[in-house]
Amino acid sequence: MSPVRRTLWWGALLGAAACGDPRASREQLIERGHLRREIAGLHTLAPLMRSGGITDSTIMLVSLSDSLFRSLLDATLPVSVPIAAGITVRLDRATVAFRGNVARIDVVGQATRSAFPRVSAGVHLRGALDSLVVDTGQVMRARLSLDDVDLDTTGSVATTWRVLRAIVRQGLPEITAAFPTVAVPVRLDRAVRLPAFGPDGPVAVPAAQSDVRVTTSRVVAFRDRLWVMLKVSRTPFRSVPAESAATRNVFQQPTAFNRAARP
Amino acid sequence: MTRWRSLAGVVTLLALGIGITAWRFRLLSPRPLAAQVAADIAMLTIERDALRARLWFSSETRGPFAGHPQGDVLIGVPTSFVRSIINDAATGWFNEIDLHIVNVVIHTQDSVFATIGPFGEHKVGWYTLAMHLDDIRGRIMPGLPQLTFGGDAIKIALPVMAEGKGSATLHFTWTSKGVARPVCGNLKAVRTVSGRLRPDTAVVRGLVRLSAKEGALEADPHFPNLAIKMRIVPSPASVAAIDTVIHSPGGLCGVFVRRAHAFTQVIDIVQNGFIVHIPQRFFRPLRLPVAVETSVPVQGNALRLAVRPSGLVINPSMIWLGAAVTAAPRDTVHDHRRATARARAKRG
Repeated sequence: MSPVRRTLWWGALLGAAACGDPRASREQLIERGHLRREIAGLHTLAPLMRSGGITDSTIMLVSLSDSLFRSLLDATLPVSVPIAAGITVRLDRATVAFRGNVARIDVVGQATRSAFPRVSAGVHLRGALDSLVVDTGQVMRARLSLDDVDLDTTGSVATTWRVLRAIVRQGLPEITAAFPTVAVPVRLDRAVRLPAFGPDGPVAVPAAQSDVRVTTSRVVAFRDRLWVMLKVSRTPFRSVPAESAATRNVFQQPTAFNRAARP
Repeated sequence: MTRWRSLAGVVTLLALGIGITAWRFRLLSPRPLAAQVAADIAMLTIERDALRARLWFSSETRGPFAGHPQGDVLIGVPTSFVRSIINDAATGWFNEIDLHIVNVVIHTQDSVFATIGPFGEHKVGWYTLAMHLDDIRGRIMPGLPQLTFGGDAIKIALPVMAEGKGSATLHFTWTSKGVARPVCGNLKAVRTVSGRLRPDTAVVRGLVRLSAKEGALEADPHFPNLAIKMRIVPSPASVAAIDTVIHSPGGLCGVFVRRAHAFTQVIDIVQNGFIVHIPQRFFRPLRLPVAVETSVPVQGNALRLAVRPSGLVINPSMIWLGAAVTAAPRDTVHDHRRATARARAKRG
């Protein structure tokens, strides 16, 4: 074998060694991660599904479809959040997926620096439902948290978008804090009332009231729905003056949602 | 020369190869091979689908989510919770119902016949008794209700008991007739008497219909034509007073009245008491403490929602309320903002 031919052989061999077996793409890794989380989430749901329904008379269920949740979330957008280095992140649209006990939220928008040097890129933020809380106004609110970001690199200089991505990533806590809560359209009353009656002829009845306390006990994402289990307790009915059948304010701690299973 | 060239070529190619290899394995970092990840994804997808199918089947047949209706918003209330509320509410409807009866008149009259020697039986007179219930104050107390679930209604059987007391004025009139008139004459007497309500137990029957109304689960009670009988137990002093009045006609007339058992009849009338009708409007619908809202706060404004009931399912363990909910387009929020601003401006 001539030296030239030998050289070419060696070159081809080294080239094959260098270029074979392509590495997994970021999308593949993300998809694998989602699958693993969904499977883990489904395993956590199995005992719940094996049980023969809710036998605890203090557990109420509230469920929301992901499409309604997305519309409610969309209604809170767009939101602009100024972060470091004169960059503003505007969040435009959101998608949600409630599967395998994981409530995933994806938000797309734009990161822009209007001052020189001007930079703009599409952003894709990933996050999850963080917690549900019943506020003092009887409204159940969902808090969301964003914990990963991707930038649209099309037409950008690599270094520029890497810097931009780093800044947006560092600004995630600020973006999460500015991200509005989503009000769930379910009213949770703090009392069941029996109104006063009369006097009507010989009959008169005082108003009666049973105070109700509601706390979220568990949140499950399953079959494209969010299922909220509410623990409800109430006092026996007691007579109250008709004009002051008011309710006590009942505050409660937020219930964390599946923090470990966040994407 | 040729050898040197070949050597240089080999060295260059080696350097190039090492360079390419180094660059290639620069990315080795944590990234696994694409083929391996693709295989993982395929296996995980199979596992996920199998698990999902199993859980979906379970969720349809048992578990907490079984048997729910369609809808964007679902509210599931355990039947036992509804039972406990209706139980308490039914008791509450009849708990401490205050009765205040004034100016009710119970009236009775009867003729008295007597055998007067050879004249045979003759009407000797008649008496009238009017009892004015001046002021009766009572209270209805409930017992333990029995609830029966069936379809969209809950049947209720509730024992109730009345207690109370009051006073009345007795107007007794004796009018003699025929041969008795010259002997006995006429008599009028007025006495104030008192007594208490006899603690009898009556069973009240009705039903509570469950329905979806304005996004809430409503329990609507039906107790048609509800009437509770109140019986009076006259106090011993009152019995004595009635006795005195009735037997006030003396002599022969007193004998006639006694023979007619007028006293017993009067006491029966008093004890038979009166009926209190409780109107249907007394029973107000009851709302369970959870409902679908028609608007939600969005950044200081209200987002209107179109809420349409999509189903009410009552099964042994859970009562489900479903609603199709559509958020108004975003423009509506802005319109709402403008409308709110205009309303604020109008208010000044």
